[in-house]
Amino acid sequence: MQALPKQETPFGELGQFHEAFAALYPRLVGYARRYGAAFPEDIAQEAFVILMQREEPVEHPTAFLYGTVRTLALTERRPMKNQNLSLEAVLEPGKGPEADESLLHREVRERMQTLSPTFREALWLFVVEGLSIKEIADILEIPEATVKTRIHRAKAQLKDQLNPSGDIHVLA
Amino acid sequence: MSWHDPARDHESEEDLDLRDELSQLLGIPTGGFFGKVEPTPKMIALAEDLRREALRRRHTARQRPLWMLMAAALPLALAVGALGSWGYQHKQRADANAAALAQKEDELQKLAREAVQKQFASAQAAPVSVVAMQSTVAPTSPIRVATHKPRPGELVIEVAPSASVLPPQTQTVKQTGP
Repeated sequence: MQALPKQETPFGELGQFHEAFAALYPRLVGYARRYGAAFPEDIAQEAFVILMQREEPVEHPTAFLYGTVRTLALTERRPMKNQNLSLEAVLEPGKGPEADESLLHREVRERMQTLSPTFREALWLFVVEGLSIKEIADILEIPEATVKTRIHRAKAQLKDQLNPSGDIHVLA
Repeated sequence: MSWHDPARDHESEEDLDLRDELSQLLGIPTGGFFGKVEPTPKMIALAEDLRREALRRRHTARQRPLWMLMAAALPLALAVGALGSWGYQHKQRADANAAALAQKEDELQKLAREAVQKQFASAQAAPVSVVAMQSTVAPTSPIRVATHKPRPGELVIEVAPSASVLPPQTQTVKQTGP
């Protein structure tokens, strides 16, 4: 492997980029899979390449990656045909995209499924992916106020489903 | 050393509380599912491959300097400018011609108006002579001149008596007997 010039990445130094990649790549693959992408690994890799290729700095690289994955998944493109860079060989057990569906309890998953797709999308990004309102607004290309509205409506619907009598209890 | 996204720093307390509340509602751990992940050698290799691919694309992408783009656009700009100038000149010329034409038309209308006025004035003076002629010519002329008084603006034409003579009536006589 040839030596690469030491330079800053969108996530800081090279070691920070490796950590960010290790943390974000499986999540991006799962996110692409949620959109029904046929080749989610390729889409996630292409998103990273697009981010690194940019010469202008990106303000929120995580939001940029999610937004790019969403766009690529929606357009059903297959940008890279590099089978050697498949995710299956490098994933840690329990951290792969297959684990996304098992992250939530079945009961909660079913309740999330009853939400409208727009509410569910915002709720997933906010709670499960841990993104900020601003990042979600960038990803979905909608105003921040709209994101907040969707999350609050999702919360209201969830409350109604989980506890119609009005008492709040915690699912564990 | 961990990677850092500045978006995490700008979250308000309200948003953090909302996330915690929703996490409780969904039964998700408050810190989220995705904790700190230590990169494995294979993951690092994949990251480096992607970074190398990005660098390769960045270097192979043709980056033309600004002056080259401007030079390429110069002929088009010149053509557009020349065309605009030519059109502007033609418009000016057409406007001048239209103004001259309108002025000529005004002059012609003025002349025509004056001619009509002159003709009207002469027509008003004509009936006096016609009446005078009628009183002398009428007894001998076979043509009767209209007895009504000509109205203003009505043209009266003097008509000379016709010189043609009707053929005399002929009668055919048949000779009978010796």
